[in-house]
Amino acid sequence: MEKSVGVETMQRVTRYEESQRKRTQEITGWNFPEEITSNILSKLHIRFLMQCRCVSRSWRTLISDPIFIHMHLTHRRTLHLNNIEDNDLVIFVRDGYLPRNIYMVEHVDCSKESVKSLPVLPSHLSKYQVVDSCNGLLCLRNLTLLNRLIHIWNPFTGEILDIPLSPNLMTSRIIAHFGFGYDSTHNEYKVLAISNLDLLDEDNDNTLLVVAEVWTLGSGSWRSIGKVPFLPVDQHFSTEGSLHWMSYESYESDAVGIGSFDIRNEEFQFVSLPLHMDSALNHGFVDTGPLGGCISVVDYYSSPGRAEIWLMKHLGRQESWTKQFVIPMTEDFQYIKLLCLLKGGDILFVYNGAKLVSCDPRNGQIREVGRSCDSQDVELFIDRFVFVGTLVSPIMIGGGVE
Amino acid sequence: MKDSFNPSIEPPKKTVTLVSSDGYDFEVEEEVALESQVIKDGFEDKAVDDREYLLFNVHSDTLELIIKYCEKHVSSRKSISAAAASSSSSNGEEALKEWDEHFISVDTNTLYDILMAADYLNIKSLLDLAIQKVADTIHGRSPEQIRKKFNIENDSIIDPWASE
Repeated sequence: MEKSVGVETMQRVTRYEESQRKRTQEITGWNFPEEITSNILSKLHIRFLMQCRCVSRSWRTLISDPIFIHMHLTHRRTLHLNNIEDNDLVIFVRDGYLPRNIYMVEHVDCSKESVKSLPVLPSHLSKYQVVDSCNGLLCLRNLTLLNRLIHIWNPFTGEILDIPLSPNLMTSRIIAHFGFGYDSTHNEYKVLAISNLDLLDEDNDNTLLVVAEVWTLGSGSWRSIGKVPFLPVDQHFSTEGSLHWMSYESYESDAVGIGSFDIRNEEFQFVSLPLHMDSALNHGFVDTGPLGGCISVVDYYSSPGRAEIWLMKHLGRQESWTKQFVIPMTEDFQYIKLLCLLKGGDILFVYNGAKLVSCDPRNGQIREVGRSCDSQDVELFIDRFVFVGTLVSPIMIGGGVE
Repeated sequence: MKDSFNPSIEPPKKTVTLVSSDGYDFEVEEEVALESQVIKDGFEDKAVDDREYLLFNVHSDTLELIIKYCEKHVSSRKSISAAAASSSSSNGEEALKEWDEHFISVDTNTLYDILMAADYLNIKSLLDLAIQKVADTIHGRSPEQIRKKFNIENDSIIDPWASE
């Protein structure tokens, strides 16, 4: 049908014989204008983009251009946020605090899934904790006493930016919480540090003051943003534009929920967990994490042998908690740590702190993925983060320790 | 220029003439030509009997393909919206995606010509399709293979992958 339309409408006035039209011209090289070349290269996965730097001088120049780097970032982020590209994970295998290996699992749970080694960190970074992964940058907290810094590292370019600890953090005796995220409106990266300060009030009683400071990359200093209206306890995770912690509503309260930080507005917010979860909470059978752009909470207690996954459909609205998935668990099941929703709709999570597993929520089928990263050895600490590789340069943003 | 005699019952379809760089005339339906943003801009200002476009940068071989693409997209859009209106199920979008994939699976020279023509005529969906195709061609190849495929001169001083 469509073919016949084409023939009717394309009435050609031929002036030469058909055979005369055939061109024998050979391709004479890469003749695309720079704008189109940028557009083409910005579609590439970080691994191949790195290789393309070696194709020619003009490609190398173009790929190092900050405008191109931002274009590539924007494209990769769009793919990631709309969940239309395979996911990559970066995996840290540590022996205590000593790093052993860092891997990248590319195309998680796809036929072309592959595990590749990432370069090791310089030796002065011997003890660290990974805060988060954002736009191809990894935020690390150095745990050496002599070198109390925060590092922003792009593992593909090898660039590292060192950030000093804030004055509060230097004096804080109690646990500090960190976060790292991106404000797409202003194209800014921020490190958030929450510290608990012990104070004596008028009656000489101990009170706890929870305060936050922000280091905007490029600014060169810490900035205090005042009190945090909740008490973070554990499990930092992030969604687009926000950082979250499982938290108590306040120091005095035992109501548990999600404490969030909006990276752009620098505002805090607390939302309680679904109401029925009190009993599960009391038994410690709740985990929180990101899933498909939403905050989610996993309840292992309410339905034995199964994990119920709830999503907060609208950020900040308690009434929007919805039970989204119920997945069956095997007998040895203890806990899971959610990582992300994969392109095909499967849920990716860490099972019992060791295995990396994908689960199809429609039929409960579970498959182990990303093997061959020492993941069988449960003696090792393993951190895993969703990774969107870019050429974003922490050095170019600058403002760190000289 | 207007047809004085029209045997069909339907009113005559308005057409536009596109002239390729090597001098061929292509008479296409107005809506097909309007897939090009360049033609669309200022289309209404042009006199009805002067709807002829000289496309100095597009060879007839390429123009033929471009017209084929635009016709397919115009007709698919109609059938997709018709299916949506009658709320009957349709896999039109999927089928069109498959057609696109087949359409763009051409040799490097043709791909180059299509991409440049889509850029010149500003047909966004086709430009995106062609750009993605070139990116897919680069994907997974070594620098040396990329140079060979696209005939790029190796002017790099350092080539860490050369020994591989």
